[in-house]
Amino acid sequence: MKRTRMIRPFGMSRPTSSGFTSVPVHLIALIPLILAIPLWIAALRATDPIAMTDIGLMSVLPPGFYVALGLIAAGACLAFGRDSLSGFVPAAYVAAWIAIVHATPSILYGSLRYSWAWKHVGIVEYIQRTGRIDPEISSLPVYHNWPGFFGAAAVLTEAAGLSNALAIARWAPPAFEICFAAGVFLIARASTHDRRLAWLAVWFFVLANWIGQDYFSPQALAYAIWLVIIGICLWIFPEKRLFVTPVVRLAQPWRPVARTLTVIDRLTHGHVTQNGLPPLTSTQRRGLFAFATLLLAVIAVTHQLTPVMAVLTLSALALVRRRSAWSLPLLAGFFAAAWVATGAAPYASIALPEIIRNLGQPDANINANLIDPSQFSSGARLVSSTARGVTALVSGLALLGWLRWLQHRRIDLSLTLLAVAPAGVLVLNDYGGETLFRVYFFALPPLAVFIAAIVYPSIAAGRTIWQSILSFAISTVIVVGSLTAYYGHEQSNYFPPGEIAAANFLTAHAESGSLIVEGSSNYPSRHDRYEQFDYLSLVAWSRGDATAGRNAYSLADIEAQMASDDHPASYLILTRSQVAGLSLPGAASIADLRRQIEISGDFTVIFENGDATIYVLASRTPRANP
Amino acid sequence: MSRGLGIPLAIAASGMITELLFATNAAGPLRIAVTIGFLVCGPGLAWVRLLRLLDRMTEWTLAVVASISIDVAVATALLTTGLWTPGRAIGAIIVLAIGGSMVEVGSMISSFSSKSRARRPTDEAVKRRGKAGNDYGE
Repeated sequence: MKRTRMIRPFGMSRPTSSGFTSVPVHLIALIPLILAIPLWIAALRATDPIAMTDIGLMSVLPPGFYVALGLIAAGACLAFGRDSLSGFVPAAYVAAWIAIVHATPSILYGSLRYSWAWKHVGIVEYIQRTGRIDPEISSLPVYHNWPGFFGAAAVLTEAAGLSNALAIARWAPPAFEICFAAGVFLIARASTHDRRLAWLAVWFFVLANWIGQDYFSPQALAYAIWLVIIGICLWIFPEKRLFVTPVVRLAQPWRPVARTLTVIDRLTHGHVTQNGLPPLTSTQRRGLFAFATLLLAVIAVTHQLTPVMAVLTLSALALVRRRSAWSLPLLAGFFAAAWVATGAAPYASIALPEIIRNLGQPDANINANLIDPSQFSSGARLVSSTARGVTALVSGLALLGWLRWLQHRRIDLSLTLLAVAPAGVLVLNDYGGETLFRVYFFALPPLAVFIAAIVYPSIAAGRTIWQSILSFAISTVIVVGSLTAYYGHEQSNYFPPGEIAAANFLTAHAESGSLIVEGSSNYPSRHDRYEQFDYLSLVAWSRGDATAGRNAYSLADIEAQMASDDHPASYLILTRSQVAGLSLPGAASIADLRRQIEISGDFTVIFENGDATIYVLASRTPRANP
Repeated sequence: MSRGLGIPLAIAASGMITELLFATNAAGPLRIAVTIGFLVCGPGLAWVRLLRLLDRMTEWTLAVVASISIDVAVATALLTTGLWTPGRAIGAIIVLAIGGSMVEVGSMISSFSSKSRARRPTDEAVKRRGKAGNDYGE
């Protein structure tokens, strides 16, 4: 007789195992993790980031790194299927994966990665230095108009006694990823009482999140808050029946229609009571609603896009909930509009015409997101293709999971709508060429739940080792692509010590009002007294179209700009990372400029190392600092 | 979920330690760990605990997000009104955290007092005992 084992849903106490005490069982379950850690540490010691090629960090990571990841994945997939283990074990595996993948660059580089993170540090430094924001500032005005994230970062920096936010920003990726995982777990638990499904959903989210929006940024914070808002909405507003009996009765004269409505109602309603979160009293419900209201107000002052996503996704959820659920998207819209009309009015008055121009143009908005891969090196093309491929793969797997649920007579309307709703933002704006990434990012939590449903489509299904093997296989397929995409741009995201030294030399010696001409803005810049300098980027958009991806200035143009009396001093800085992020024609145009500079004899080198060179016009050599 | 005085008092204490470390401009990793730990967990935990949620992981998830949200709200309010100083921002957050802790402590004391009153015999019960005879010769 086949032995069956009952699956332990959320809310049921963990049974004591017969024949074994609990602690040894948990230690055995953690063996793969314990073995992976020294492999990871050894891999870090054997990695030199300066040797990276155009496929990014994966070009220099030793095999031990991947073995460590494989052990973590194997241990995790085994642990998720054993619901007799306490939640500590799957949480430990998720945390270990996050640490290995997202903390590796922070540890290896010894400094902050990604140029935009440095710019965000500069906004925090501005607040620390001046004690205010300036919504009408000409440089990076958007951050002064949505200051929430930077104000909070300034509080943390000052409280910790740090001179700037670099140390905090460096560890932002693993910290935010842990927040994301916790938020996705809340959403998953609100959608199922099968703990295996919930943990596996978190796992697939962590694997498939290649977008890289976890760096020190308002988007990362706003996203973490959005996840919790969605979780609260799913928790406090139960789903209602889609087609109640009177509606079906009305459709009786049309039997096929009535039959179809009945079937859909059974499929969508059958799971409605599957909620793994504890039941709520009316006081708790009101308290959580008040909490969600605070969170909606906070994202309105923190980020521009996330409130729009909140309105779209909360509205989608409200469609299948009772009328009181509409209060959340209405509040989200109100807070966003109120902030745009007040705190962000200076920026909105400038940006609104362009937003209105892009409204209702999804084709144009999508095309602005798709770069022309033929302009880039073979490695960059591989990374770009892989990113598109893994996005399509994750979407395909999610569809498979959705159909698997249908096979088990379940349609989760809330998650389905949550997966589709973010696409609505494509109608609004190209968001500087990043809308497609953001749509995937905001759709990923429900997609991850659907992928997990391939393995555990119901609480009665999937009780053998084959489910763990299937989880591992799906994990491997996703990780190969997502890791390539996530680490693919690290050659341009990594700033070696020489480049940081050059940037610090510039800010230390350049007097207020100076002009800084730069190959591109992709280097550690604008992190210190950023508003006191004028910047001229020779390449407008490193990943843009052919025209914007090349140096737009002749040597004569550059000399004229630098010779102008509009600035007390002028500098030209060219670095390794500026070129690493460019298209092939763009890199060639900067290399050509360097040759012209050397031939012309019109420039003097005032700082040089293997990673960066700083020039001044020979006719305008700046005064030595006292 | 255990609902003792430990956590509310710990939140209040860590808030005061944060203020002390900031005011004395102490240096070192201890200041970084204590202050950032408090700002990222303390204010939110003080208020989320009032919901008396049954699930620890959910409580902590909400607590961290609530803490950072309170930091954002306070900082934004001070920046937009031109009243920003680090001391004011940190002080306001600490007051909010201690406020939440004190509300929880107050509700615990109030609940304990009600239970004590319920256990204490009423005057009527004492009179009935007196009619049956007592040790005081009344």
